[in-house]
Amino acid sequence: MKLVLSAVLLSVIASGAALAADKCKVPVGEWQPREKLQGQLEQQGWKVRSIKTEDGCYEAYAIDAAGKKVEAYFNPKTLEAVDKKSND
Amino acid sequence: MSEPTVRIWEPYVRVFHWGLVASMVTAWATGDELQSVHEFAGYTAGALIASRLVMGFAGGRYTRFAQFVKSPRAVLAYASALRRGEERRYLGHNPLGAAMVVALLGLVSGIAFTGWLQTTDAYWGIEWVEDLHAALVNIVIGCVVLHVGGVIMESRRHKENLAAAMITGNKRAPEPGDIA
Repeated sequence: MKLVLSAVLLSVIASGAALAADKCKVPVGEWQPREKLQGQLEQQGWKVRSIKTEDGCYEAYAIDAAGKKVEAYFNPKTLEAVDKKSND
Repeated sequence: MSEPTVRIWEPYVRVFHWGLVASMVTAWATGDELQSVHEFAGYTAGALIASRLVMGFAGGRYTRFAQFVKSPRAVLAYASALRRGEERRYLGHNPLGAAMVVALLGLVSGIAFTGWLQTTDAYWGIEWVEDLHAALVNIVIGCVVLHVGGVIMESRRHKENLAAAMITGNKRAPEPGDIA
């Protein structure tokens, strides 16, 4: 049980840290407002449900133009997509 | 070890109990990180709860809700007897423990439901669902702490290892004054 738990925890730490954090190292002063990201996504036909910050990235939950659920990460300075998970 | 014992917790109850512990710990450890494992653990917990609701009517004597779920008044009466150090020993769930069983079943159902809700198109990324999911988790963590505290306290007071009983299924045979 302990072994399983530590294995799970280790993989959690590994996967969480490697995710997108490295691509979003931006000083707080250089962040663009999240409204700008929201506008940019809406122009692409996304229905934005929420935008949060995670590991220094903007994390957007949305329904994209094709009607798919997406969870996408953006660099807060350039507003470029750095990672995307899409569910059907 | 030569004390006579009786079977209280049927195998189903023990598998349910430790299965729920395992799925809750796994879900807690993987939340927001390992999505597929988190969802699998959450659905497992939900399925375990559903099975428990069925067995609460169809299971063995000490598994059935009618055997242990008591009115709020009876729960309070037991709690005040406990405070005076005069509570009786229950072979099944005592009224306070039973109230915790009900609370945990309700809370974990709510967590599983709000977790699933976040995977639907309609509630994808809707923050209040996520906040509710997280708030219920925090309440459950508090309840688990109380539950373990209650198990330790009652184990000491009645000189038996209740956690071990949830593994073996057996408890010390009833003595005069115990409620079997």
